Amino acid sequence: MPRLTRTLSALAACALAVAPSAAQSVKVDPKLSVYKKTSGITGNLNSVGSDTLNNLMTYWVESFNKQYPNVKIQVEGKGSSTAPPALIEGTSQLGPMSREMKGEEIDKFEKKYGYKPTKIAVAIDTLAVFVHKDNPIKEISLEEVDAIFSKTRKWGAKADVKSWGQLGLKGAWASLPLSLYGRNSASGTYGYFKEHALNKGDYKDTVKEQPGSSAVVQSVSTDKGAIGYSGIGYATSGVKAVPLSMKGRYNDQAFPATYENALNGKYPMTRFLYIYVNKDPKKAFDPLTREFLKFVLSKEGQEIVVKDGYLPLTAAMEAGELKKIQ
Amino acid sequence: MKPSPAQDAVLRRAKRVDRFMALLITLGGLGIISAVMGMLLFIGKEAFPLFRGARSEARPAFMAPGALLLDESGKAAAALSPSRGLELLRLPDGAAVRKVEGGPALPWTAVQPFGPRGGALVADGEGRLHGLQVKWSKPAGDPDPAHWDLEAAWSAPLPNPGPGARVLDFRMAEGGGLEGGLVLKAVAATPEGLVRAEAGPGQAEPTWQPFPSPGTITAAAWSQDGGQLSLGTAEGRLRTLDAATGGLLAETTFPEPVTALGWVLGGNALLVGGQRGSLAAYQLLRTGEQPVLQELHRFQPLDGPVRGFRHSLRDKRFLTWGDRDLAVDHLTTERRLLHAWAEGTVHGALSPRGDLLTATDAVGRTRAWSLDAPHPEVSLGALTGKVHYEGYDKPAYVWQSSGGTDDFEPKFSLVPLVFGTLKGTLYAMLFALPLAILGALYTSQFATPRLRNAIKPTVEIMAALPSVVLGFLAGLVMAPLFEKLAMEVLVFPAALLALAALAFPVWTRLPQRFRSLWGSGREVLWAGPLLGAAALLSLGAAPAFERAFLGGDYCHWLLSAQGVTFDQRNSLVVGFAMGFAVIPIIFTLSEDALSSVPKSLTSASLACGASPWQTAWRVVLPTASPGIFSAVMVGLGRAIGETMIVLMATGNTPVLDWSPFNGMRTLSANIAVEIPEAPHHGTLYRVLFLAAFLLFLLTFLLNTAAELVRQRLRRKYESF
Repeated sequence: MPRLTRTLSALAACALAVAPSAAQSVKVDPKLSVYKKTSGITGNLNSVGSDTLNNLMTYWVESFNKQYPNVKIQVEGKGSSTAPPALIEGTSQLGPMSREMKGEEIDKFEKKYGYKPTKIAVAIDTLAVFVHKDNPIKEISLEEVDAIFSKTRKWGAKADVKSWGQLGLKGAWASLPLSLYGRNSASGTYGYFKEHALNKGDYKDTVKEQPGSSAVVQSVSTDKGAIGYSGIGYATSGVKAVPLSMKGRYNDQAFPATYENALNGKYPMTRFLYIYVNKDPKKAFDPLTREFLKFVLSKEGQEIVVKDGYLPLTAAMEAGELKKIQ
Repeated sequence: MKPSPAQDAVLRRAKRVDRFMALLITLGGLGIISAVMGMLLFIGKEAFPLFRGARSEARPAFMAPGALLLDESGKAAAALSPSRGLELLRLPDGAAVRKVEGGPALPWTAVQPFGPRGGALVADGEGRLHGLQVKWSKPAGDPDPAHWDLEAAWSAPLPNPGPGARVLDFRMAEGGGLEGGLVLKAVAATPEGLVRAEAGPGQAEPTWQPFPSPGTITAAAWSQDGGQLSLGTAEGRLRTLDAATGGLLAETTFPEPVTALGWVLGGNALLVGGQRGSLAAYQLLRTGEQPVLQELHRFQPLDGPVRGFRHSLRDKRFLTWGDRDLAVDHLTTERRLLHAWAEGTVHGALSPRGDLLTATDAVGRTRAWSLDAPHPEVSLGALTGKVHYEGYDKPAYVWQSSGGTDDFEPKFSLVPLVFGTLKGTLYAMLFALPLAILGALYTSQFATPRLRNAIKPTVEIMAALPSVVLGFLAGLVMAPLFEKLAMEVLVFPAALLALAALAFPVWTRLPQRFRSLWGSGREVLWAGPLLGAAALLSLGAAPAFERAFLGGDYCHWLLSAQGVTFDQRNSLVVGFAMGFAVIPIIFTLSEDALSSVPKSLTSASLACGASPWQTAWRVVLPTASPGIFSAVMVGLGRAIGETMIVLMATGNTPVLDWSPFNGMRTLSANIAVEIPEAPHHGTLYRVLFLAAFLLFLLTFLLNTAAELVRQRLRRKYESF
């Protein structure tokens, strides 16, 4: 009998260690607004942009459609950099992006419409560094991440990192070469990682560019020596998100990507996910787009965020965003 | 004999149909040619504006009270002068719209002009220094500058640095903490040497601290994060100090006395101007053991001492002005976008978008130029040659076209892409050529007709496999499998050859009756068991081989002994998958060519006593060579243009390395990956069209060469 109990408690410990992988335990802010349906909402919307937000957009559209069966929304997600051209050409009304628009993109928009696009933060993401699930690595510093992924090493690492042994792994792992996976350059995640993990340096030529976040995670889960990055929402059981530390912050301590660590800034790669819209400040905002954004920001919308593995906005953040679309 | 009326009618109809078809075919052919030409024209039209030079135009001059900060729209500017303070001007006429109140009491004794982000320094009546941060405040969507305003934030003052002091550089930053507020850092040259001070919320009373550094310091520049201070001296020394400790990080020499220092957007490239007009960019490289100051680029000199720099907030262009002239250059390509004569410029300004610049002289006369340079980051040299990019220790061929921020330096070298295209094609052809041609030779010359009728359609069905499916299989199934079984796969050909060498003598000793019944034309049936046996043998032998020669694990061995990293998505996998796409084409066309060699030739050869193998090798193969050659060329064209397989099976890594154990990025896959993100008519968009043009040219040249060779071969073997 004691043996059985021991096994059970070991199992329970394992389950505990695996289960709260960032998002499951997250509760949305109870003070978030509750979405109220309005009448007379019909029409079509197109969304072109971020791949990180692709699943989330699809879930939102699904739930939104339950409230408004006459609304048709198409979602296309190839990368954040596809959002500004589509917004400018008018082929989309919603531009989900996992990074902020660049000045050059805003210039192009302004040149066509005479005003700037409106940026609505819709969720929080912790950009995670993933390794194969069997990989014993405990934590990793941004400086090491930089030395792994970058050829310019702007965080100041002295040597290039090519094998897992250089990151402190022992035994058979020590001589295993690193296999690098990343996103294609259209991705906002690519840009964000470049800015924060590489300190605006350049990627190595050997980083294998994958067309989507799920492709990165899929590749990492089938390649033992792999290391890759993507939004936390794409985590699967085949990969492990490594806690990150940053030199000179919190005594170089590493923090896992939890909601708490994201909100208090301990996790070094936390970002907002945005939807950009074309809102003429002199005219009334298109009711369909407005209702969709209201729904996204509401409690229902933010519960979907949690379900998809990302982190919800707080009520204070929501109030600020709602003001922009009034 | 005259044809009967009925025959006549048939003949006439046949002729009519004939003429009609001839016309239709001619029209179709012409249509295809014009469509191809139209495509080429379109691609060229989209690509070639890349190489259009920059256009600039002088705008009417106006009077400005002092140093200017241009708004991004080019319709307004902030002006700062000791006598009139901060004002908002309307452009292009320079009329004052409103005065902005606040700050120390007028008149001021001196003004240090605006940086690109709107920071300035003002000395009040007692010589104390106040930091000023200006922001535009515009009602949303209001294009009229008359309704705009400026928000000015002032920092806590620094004390008077003393008589004879000259402020070299200052830095404004948003302070941390709940209070916010501005942190002002300044460095000044005094008769007693270099001093610096810092003022900010929650800090003690600021004082000027000596900051010793040898030589006559003539220029200084704070790094973007304030952590380092770069100095230039009259003796032509250039050094970077740790701003906190004053310790020397790196030092180098500049060929002439340094008169001005500045930054390019991003704060990586330090601009240095000299007494005789020399102009260069340096960078502090920290990846080695010791940080070094390294020359990054050298630009065409100005005509006289360089006085100041301003950079744009969108790309790597910057304005330099001297005593007699001014210029706008681009860092990456070293291209001069504009050069103009402007006597006695004291303050220069470049708009955030880099499309408008002004030069103001001591009395306030301001000249302005508009600059239209849509693609300054591209030049023929940058596309085809090695370029020394920021953060790199030496010039390199790099393709890295976009980043998430404006201060990213785009890297558009087509060399890795062309290289990747050739590499992918090479590995595909290495795999496909022998299999396809020898297979065709066997099928056409040795196989029994029944076997041949089964093999050919089967191979042709392979061609029907969509390349997306092939790419998907290669990337997600084959690549991990190959990683596990790489040794087995590499040992397999050797095992097969060894087994075949063993089996052959056995075969020749078998009775003639058995051989003619089960052999001639059906040898391929025996290949099945042979292949199976070889596979088993390699499965058994590979681990032993790996233990004996490669220390147990080929991945580790490659990395430690050869310095080669084994990548799961590598050229062998791509070659294999692309070979799959190419084999059916080469096989079918070669087989047709080989089968259409006249029977009379083979019969004659056999009758003269040549063996079937001699006949096939010496008579059939040369005669069919024009056809086989075109088959190979068609296959090559397919491999060069192949997109989906490479896109999905490689990591699209733009490496310059022939190693079969890593991947590649091809022209075609690159276009497919990046065109959705490329803004219409932006630089990336046009560079991608240029890549398409190159691809077009490559296939066009290849096909033309192939056709010429084929014609020659045909003439040579026509006599048969």
